[in-house]
Amino acid sequence: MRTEEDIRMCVEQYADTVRRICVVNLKNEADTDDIFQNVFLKYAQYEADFTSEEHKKAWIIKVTENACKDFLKSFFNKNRISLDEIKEMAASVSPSHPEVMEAVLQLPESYRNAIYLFYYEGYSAVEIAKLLKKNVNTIYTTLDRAKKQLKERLGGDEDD
Amino acid sequence: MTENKIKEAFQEIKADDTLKQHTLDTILSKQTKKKPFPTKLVLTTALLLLTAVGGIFSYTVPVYAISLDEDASVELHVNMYQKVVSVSTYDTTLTTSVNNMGYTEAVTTLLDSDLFSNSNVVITVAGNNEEGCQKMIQNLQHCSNTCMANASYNTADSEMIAQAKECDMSLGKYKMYLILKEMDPTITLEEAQNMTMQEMHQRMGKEMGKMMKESG
Repeated sequence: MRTEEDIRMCVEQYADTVRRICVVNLKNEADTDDIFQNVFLKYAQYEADFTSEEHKKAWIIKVTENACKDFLKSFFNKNRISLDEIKEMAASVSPSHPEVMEAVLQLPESYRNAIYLFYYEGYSAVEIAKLLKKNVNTIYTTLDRAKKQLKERLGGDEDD
Repeated sequence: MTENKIKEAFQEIKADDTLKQHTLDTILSKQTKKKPFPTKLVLTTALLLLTAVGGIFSYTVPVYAISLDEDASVELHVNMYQKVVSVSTYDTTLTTSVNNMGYTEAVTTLLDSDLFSNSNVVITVAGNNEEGCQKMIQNLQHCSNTCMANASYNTADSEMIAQAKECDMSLGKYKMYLILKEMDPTITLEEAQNMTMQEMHQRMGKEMGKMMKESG
């Protein structure tokens, strides 16, 4: 059982990361609350030590991804949201670049996670494959296709 | 260009303070409500206690008895760790303590003391384990010159220990009484209780003489 101080520091440090993964996966702000509690409660109850801060971050990302997946498995949460709702969500979470967020949120689910981890968190394809338990070649293909789709929607160089 | 825009777009996504606080409040309230039962600690403590109690118990329980009989009789009660845990005396009082000594050291100490003249000490080893009794006799016979030269050895079972105790006699003396009774069924327990070992030896010699005369 972790100390209150430890939990507070973890929430302070990784709340934004968890929130971003929730946006990428859930496309619905209202559900974020549940995932938040789920992830940090797991952290509070996780007794093993982390070998490094990177290890801890990877653990938080993995647990959040799994919590989102579990949430979406529920029959009531499978309903797709409309394009208008995606636009509304993108404008709400990223007022400076709503068109970019909208393009990201319109990508298929597996593409969105790979793009977030690759562009924002700076993980390599090999690291993403390890984190998401996928084949490296699958991740290369996913990233390639995601970049092409983003280029179509946003314009510019797909190799950026 | 696209990479920067994506980074900036994600950078804008923040968890607000209300969400963080609400999460913390929920987790901390769940933590105080449900403290995990310290199973490991309880089990370890119970195991240690059990081992300690078991250890103490097994130390104090005698599993062998060694009876030294001459004019005086001393009975040593020996535990599974081969240590003397208690002593019973008959027709004498011990001046030296042999408690907690190894049984070979205790027997040597007693044979070297004034209690025994070492001319004709009978040492009887009794216990449930016949093999263990024989091994103890071997160890006693080889532990010192005193033990080797001045004593005769025999074994008995634990049932005999109880019978001897009932008759308020040392094990060696009781065993001698049983042998004597086989030779002369008229001998009574009271008579035997009042006899010294030397007297019993003499009586036995007499009875043996009678038997040889009768047979031959």
